[in-house]
Amino acid sequence: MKKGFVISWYYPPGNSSEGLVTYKLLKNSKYKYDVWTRKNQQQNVWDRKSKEDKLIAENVKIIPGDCESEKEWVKQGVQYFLKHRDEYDFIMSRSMPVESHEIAMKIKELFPDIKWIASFGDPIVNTPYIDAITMEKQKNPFIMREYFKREDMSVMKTLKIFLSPARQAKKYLWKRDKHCGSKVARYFSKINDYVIKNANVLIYNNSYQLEHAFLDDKLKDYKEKSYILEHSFDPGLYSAKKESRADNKISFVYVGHLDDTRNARSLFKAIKKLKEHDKDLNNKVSFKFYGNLSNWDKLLLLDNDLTDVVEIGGDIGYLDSLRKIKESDWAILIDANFTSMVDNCIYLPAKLIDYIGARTKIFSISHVKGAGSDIIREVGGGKVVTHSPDDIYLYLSKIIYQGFEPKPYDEKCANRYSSKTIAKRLDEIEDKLLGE
Amino acid sequence: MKVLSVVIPAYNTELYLERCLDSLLYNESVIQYLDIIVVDDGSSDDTSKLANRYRKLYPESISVLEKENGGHGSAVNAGIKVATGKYVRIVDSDDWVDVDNFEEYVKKLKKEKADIVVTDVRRQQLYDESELNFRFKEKNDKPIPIGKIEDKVMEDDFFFEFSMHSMTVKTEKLREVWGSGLLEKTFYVDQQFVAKVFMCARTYIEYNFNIYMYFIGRPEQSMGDGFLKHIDDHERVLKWLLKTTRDKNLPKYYKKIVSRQIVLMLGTHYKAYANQVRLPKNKKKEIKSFDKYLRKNYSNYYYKSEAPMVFEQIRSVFSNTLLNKLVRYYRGRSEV
Repeated sequence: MKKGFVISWYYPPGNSSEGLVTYKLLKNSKYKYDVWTRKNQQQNVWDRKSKEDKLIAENVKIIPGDCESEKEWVKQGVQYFLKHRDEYDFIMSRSMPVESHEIAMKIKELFPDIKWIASFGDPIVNTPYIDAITMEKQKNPFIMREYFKREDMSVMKTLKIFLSPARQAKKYLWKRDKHCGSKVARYFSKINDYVIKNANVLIYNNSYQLEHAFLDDKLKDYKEKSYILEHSFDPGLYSAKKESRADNKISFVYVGHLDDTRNARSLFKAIKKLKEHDKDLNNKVSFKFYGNLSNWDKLLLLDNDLTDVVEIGGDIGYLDSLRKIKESDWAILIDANFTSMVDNCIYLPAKLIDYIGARTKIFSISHVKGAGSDIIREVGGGKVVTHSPDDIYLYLSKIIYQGFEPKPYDEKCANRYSSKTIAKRLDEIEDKLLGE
Repeated sequence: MKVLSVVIPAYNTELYLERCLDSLLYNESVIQYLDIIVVDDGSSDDTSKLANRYRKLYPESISVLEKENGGHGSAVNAGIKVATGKYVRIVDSDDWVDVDNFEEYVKKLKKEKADIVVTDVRRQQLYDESELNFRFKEKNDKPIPIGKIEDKVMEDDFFFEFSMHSMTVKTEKLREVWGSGLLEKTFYVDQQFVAKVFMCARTYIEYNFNIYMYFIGRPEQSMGDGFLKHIDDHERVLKWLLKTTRDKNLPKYYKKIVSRQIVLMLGTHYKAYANQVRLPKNKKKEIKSFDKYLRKNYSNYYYKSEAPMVFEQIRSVFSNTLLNKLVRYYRGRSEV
């Protein structure tokens, strides 16, 4: 059986959805794989309470590099491959981070004939996430009008502040960091161009992302070697039966990482509005959040006294998270709001496919059009709302007070995202690449 | 008799129309009083299919008109023509209504006598994640004559208080002045709608709550892709409004209100040109000729507005003297 060398910084039992996506895909493939990953991942964070033996794949061997930095990981990865070159028929690099591609780039330079599959989790160039950070960093706080608009100050005092060492030091730090975002962007762009030009196969997880990757005219010729391979769910990982709950509340669950960019603010604003109209709300509905929540969101919950309706559950294992999803009436999906930057959402969250696998109803807060929203409309089982708190409020009200039900799941469509089906498509790509 | 006709002009909004209809149908007790008219303006997506799905569920309250594409104005015209409610209001298909107040609103309309009912508007701005409330400041309990609208209201927030989104109007009255209706294939006809309402109405009342959820965040939305792109339409609407001021059959207060509208719109119109980094030759010619037209025919409105001042700015900034070329060059560089 042919064997691939997979380069993936994240892999179970590490705490990452990217790693889990890779695991589900490889486990169900007919090929054998060695996964070059990292030893000191936050082991078992996701799986500390669950049965880890479920996350083992017979056709996959994990080779963890014992290193802390990405740079060292790249070096060790290349060295490992040099020693075992003969064992592998092809390589597969999976971002993020981009260092996975960097190892593959170095291998390709050493062995130009090696077949290379490059798989992109999220886009690494023109990403709204990096644009948002860059824009924030480039705002010069020292020429902002507000800084000088202090009517109560004399000219001398203004000058004194203007020339003060503290201000000069701050200015120096700002100047130093100002281009940080664009430097990262340039580095990513260089890697992206190389990968697109030199990899034999490019894999994206949705069509929006694929189109986004080829916005640059100089790369358009390489589009032909691209494939779309969506994330997948593994039916074997879910608990067999749904446990019954003690209360009659409608339950919503969110599982995964939230931060300042992808946040739950609009949802919390909507819940606040619901609570203003219904003092008894906590007896009718519950929202549970597992995984990271930004401090701003936590403050919003506390400031508005929403903790009786919204519960923060902390970190849980992946298998536990699947159980929680299955037990809930609704699973919440939240995409970052990039309305001012892109028209459609180019990200496909892996948790969406896990929600589909559980056949739990999905309440999606996202761009109206985008990778996730299109899938929900196609598969059924969910409702897509925008980031407007009043839009969210409308449909939460319909769910809580009117028993709103989304279009039922289309089983045939939903099963298209099972890991066996997606892995079969990967096998076909690999067969073609290897001339099988 | 139906109490309220809701005209929903819809063009390729299959992903939004559901929210609009769901909000209108949220309060079951008032559905029987509604005459919802979805006007599919030649959509190429499933807008019509979606609307018809709702029509089948509520055949007594929803009707669907399908027509060739003719723009927002033409869809409103088609809807007004068939409206059967005592009152009529326009709800764009990507917007929706406030479900908390809609029931009370329809019940109040049932007994209402005023020609115009003004309600608040809540704007949902997705690009900066903000929600803004536009509230009518001077609330009145009983209908009052239009002529008594206070100057303060006219000065402060005219556009927000009297907009297509804030006004509900007696259908019968509106039809009296509707004529050929709104301009077809033209943007900014909402201003024309406001003028038409004031042509026909004698009294108005303000309800102390919000009804309209105005959504800004759709990629195709005209507000998002640059005002200058549709400036010709803005000019057409302005010219139409100016022309109506010479109609001697219209009431005196109409002139007072529409003149405020024109003055504000002129400011916006000129600023759209002034805010450009570079102004193409044809656009320069366009604003010059419009400026000449205004000074010649409507100097009273022209000099009341910001137009002369902004036009001076346009002339100086976009003139082709060496100094201006240099200024533009450096301005362009700093933009980059």
